[in-house]
Amino acid sequence: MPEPTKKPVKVSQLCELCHSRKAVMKRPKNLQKLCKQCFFHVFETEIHLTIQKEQLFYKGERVAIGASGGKDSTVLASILKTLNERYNYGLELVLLSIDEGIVGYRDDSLATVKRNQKQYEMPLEIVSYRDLYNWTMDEIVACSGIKSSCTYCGVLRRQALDRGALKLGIHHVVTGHNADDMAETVLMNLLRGDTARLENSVNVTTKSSGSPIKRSKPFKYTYQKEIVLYAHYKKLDYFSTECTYAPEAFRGTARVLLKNLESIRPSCILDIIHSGEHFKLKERKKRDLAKNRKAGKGRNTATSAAANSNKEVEVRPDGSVSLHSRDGNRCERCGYLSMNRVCKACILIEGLELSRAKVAIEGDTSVNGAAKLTKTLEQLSF
Amino acid sequence: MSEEKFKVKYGKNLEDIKAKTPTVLLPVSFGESSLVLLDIIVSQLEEQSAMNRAHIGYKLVVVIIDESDFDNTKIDIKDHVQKLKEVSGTDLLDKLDIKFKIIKSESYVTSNRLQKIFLTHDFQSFSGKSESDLDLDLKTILLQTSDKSTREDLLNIVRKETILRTAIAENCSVILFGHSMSKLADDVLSLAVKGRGSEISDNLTDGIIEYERSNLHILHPLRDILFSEIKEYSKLCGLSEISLNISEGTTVKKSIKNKTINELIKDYFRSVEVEYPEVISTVVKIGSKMAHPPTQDDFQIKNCILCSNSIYNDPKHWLEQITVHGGAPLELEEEKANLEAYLASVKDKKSDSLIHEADEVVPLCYGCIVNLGTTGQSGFIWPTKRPSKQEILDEYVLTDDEGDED
Ligand SMILES: [Zn+2]
Ligand SMILES: [Zn+2]
Repeated sequence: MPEPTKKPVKVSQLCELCHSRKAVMKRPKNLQKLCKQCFFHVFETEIHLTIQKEQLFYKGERVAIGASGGKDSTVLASILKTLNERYNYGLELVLLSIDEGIVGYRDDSLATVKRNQKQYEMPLEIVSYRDLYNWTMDEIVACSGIKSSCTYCGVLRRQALDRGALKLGIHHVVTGHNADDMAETVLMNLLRGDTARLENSVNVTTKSSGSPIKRSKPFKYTYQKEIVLYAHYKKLDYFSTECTYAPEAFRGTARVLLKNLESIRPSCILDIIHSGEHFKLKERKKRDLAKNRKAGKGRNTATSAAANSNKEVEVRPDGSVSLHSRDGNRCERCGYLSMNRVCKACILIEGLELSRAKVAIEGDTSVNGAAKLTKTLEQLSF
Repeated sequence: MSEEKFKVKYGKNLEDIKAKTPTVLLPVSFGESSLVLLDIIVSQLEEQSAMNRAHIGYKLVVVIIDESDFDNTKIDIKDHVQKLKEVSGTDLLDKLDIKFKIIKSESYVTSNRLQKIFLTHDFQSFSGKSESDLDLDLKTILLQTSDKSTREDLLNIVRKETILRTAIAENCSVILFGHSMSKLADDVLSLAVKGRGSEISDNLTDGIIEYERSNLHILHPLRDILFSEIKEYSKLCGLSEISLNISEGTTVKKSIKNKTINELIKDYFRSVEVEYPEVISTVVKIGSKMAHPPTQDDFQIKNCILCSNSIYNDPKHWLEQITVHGGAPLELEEEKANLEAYLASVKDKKSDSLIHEADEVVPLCYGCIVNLGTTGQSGFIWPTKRPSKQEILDEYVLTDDEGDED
């Protein structure tokens, strides 16, 4: 077959990296004009570099990919498969999905995950809120209102992923959190004055003490827009509907701000992460002393007593109390590993049970629910 | 301002009292905050001077940076300072020995210190040899970038340095900034957005900083007061009439694309504080709890050649890890042909190859690397060398013919 005669590409239209192929896109991160091949190359290599720099995996490690069927986790599954083969990581990858019980949203996205399972030839495990907590997100929203849905979902999903991984005997969960998410978190921590999270929120890998599960975000430096472009050019099969429950209003304001900032300075997402990596709080003692001095008081005896004893009691911003001890503590209610006496999921569920008890005058579902929760959680072994 | 060193001094030995009386610098931008602070300080000094057998606690120098050479407003600063003096009471100001200094921002740029800075694709920064033929004014220097946020960032560097240099030249040991809590919150978020998170603590801390081997005590007396409250106060005191509202109110009409980072953030706070009034104090509080970041891998702390802020970790190393600068391999013959054509086309331009051998690697902070990224690749000219204390004093004496009128 004779080759179709193509017009030669003008020099000014060439990709800024290889100078040999026609540029087809502007890279969202730095507005470089790139050809498709070079975009794939830099996109994949940058993620590989992050994995290498952070020494994210060891050979033979079994890793669960938190898969929602959305673009981030679909691209994550695809690219980890690619890199695992290309650089010989020696990983055993498993898809782990959470069924939050959101009608119309989760059903379709789970169908996508099931297709991904076949496409990427990875085993799939689905854990549902219903099984774990005896609550679906739809019920939670019906009970507590739409306003705090993200708070609930965040806490419950985190624990659900952990429990699902443990069920599979896996100790490392990777999630599709991208650079935009990281930047948003940095802004939110500032806007909420969250000192507990300020220093470490941008870490690629987090592991709360006492938890057997390591969590990593290989997309920490990856722009959301580039993930979309990658999925588009690679024709990846993902579910693009946003969660039915919109983020809480205040987070929404930060998200809009970030979008506006990105429109005038594309690098700002990385710039914010760079800032986040340089946040350091003054030593606590110094801060407390300064505070006491300001208030005209002497040294707070309660603090010093606590500091002297080995069992320092720290009151967290959410009002829970932590007991620092070397071994992981267990939640009194569900037995799940927790820094606190009662884990966050149980605190939330308990609040829900109370309000359901108030709502449901007839039909004694509340007692039933609490009992079932305890029972279900007991059955889950780890 | 309740510290011992600002209180009235007693005694008969004038030399002794003079030695104990600090000189305090107050930069006035003609925004409401600094005008209100000046008003409060004049009242405090007036009270002090009315006390029996007492000497006032500190000597005040007011500095006004004159940017009329390049801003579009064409404001006559001298005229405005005169109005300000009348509002405050000229006789009173004289009696309290308050000095007014007008410094042209142009003074930051003197041709012999200009240097060209280059940034390569792999984020290495070089400086060209000091080129004696470089002779640019501040306006031209700022116009090297079309990015408004970069200009704004650079102008902030000029303002800050000018204030610090004036403090040295005027022998001040204290600088009072009139920033309101709202302004400080803007600053925290702006610095974070510009990749300058490590500078937040220095920007918010009340305390001693070192500048050219002199200690300067920085204070923000209005740090707990919202800008809206300051505005009310200034209305009540009749100060609004002389305020210039530098950037206030003008941003509303602009489209987002035409705004700067600072303007977007200012707009953001003004809109969320209605529903979430605690957000401003929250941001300032957490900013005040920050410290300098630790360095990694035995990195030696350096100072940025452009903004003089401390660099705690190598930004080049950080950027290289996350931005790959190499293409995918070539496969087809026509791709190779295209590359040939490209190489031929750049060969002609190579004559003005930018990185000379004699060029020196210079430290550039992350925020300034971002700034330079907006300026194109032919290098960026900037007055890079910070003058020594002696040079500041020398230069000052030569150019100061405006400050001490009346
Ligand atoms: Zn290319
Ligand atoms: Zn700098």
